[in-house]
Amino acid sequence: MTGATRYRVCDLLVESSVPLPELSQVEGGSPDCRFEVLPAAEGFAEDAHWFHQWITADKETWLKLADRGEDYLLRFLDQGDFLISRDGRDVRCCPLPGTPESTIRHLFLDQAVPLVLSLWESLVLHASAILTPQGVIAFVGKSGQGKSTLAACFGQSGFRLISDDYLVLRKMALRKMVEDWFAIPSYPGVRLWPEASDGIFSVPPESAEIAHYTDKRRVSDPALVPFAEGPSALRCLYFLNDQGDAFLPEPSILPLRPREAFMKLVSCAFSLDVRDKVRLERQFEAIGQITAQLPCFQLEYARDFAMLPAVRRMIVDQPVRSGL
Amino acid sequence: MTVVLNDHLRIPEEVLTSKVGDETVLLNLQTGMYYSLDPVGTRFLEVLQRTGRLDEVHHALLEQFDVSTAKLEADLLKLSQDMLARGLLVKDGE
Repeated sequence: MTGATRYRVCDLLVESSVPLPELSQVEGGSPDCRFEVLPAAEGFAEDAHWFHQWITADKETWLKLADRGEDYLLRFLDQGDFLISRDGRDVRCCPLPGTPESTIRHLFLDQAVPLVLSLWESLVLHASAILTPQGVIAFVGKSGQGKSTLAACFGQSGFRLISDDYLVLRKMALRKMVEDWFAIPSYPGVRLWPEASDGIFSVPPESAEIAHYTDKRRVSDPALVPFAEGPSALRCLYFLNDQGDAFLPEPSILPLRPREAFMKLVSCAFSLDVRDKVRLERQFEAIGQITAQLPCFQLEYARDFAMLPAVRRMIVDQPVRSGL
Repeated sequence: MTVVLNDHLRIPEEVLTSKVGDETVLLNLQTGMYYSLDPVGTRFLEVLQRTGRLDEVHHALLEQFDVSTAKLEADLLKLSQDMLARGLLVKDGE
């Protein structure tokens, strides 16, 4: 690619034909993945077998996935198409006319990249995560359940961010023989609704547009949300639900049975090809190990920003109580 | 599909199982569907995996749980039938 720049996302080295200001640039090294944005058009030709789709809470299809021989085709309705090579090494985007650059970058960084990573990694979860002195704590949940708000709340208190929306977990051993599940930092910044930003930060933070179709904005100031530098062992998972109980006077943390945690993790795991038995098997094994080894809790709290400091305190104390 | 107590059953290759705590999660790779079994269902599966025989499962669970022969038989046949219908078990030889 002529004029391409290299960036780091998770520990993936991406060579991109367009600037990705959300990521830190990297000199040298051999890219793991190439990203190219093609001129706007009406999408890639449709000689494809559609095999899966993602539906919003409003029951609307917003992403369709297809098999196109050598590639997977991701069609983000009203935004554009992404072609991902079967080995995940090449990603090409053909945006629809009028799709802004920020939206293309968001779709690549926050939608295509976790799906590409799901081809290589044991487990990529829909989760935010922060680093505590005891290790990494993950907040697992679907869109709109409060992952970013919790991550920002911890970040604002000095805890380092591991991930805002997708969490890569890898089994490895660092400085010791015993293998642990490690969380790989994704990239700096949290995506917040304006009211969440107002509720967390005393002074309105600098923020950037994420995509033209959402009011969420990206807060990346390292003084407000510091970013973790390297992988750390995952110690605990908290599962979020839809709205929380508006009448709950204080937060509650309930232990989950391993089977309950297993089924919840399955529903929050990224998978580019749900038909791929080898990867399904790998994911199944990873989830089984994680739910057997790590404490998993259901976190309930009223979605009131004034409640967040109490939620944070309770979570910070929890690893001590559970013997971590 | 009718199941009787002297049937030989097994978990097909395309079904993965994982024991989590005292319960079990199953994944049917053909359909991508996940299922779970409670502790009693987990015990059922453990004995079945070891012996492959429903009557052996009946015998083992009768010793372990306070339940009548007829009730246990009915429950085992119903669970086996459900699992066969979902592709989580097959009759041996199939």
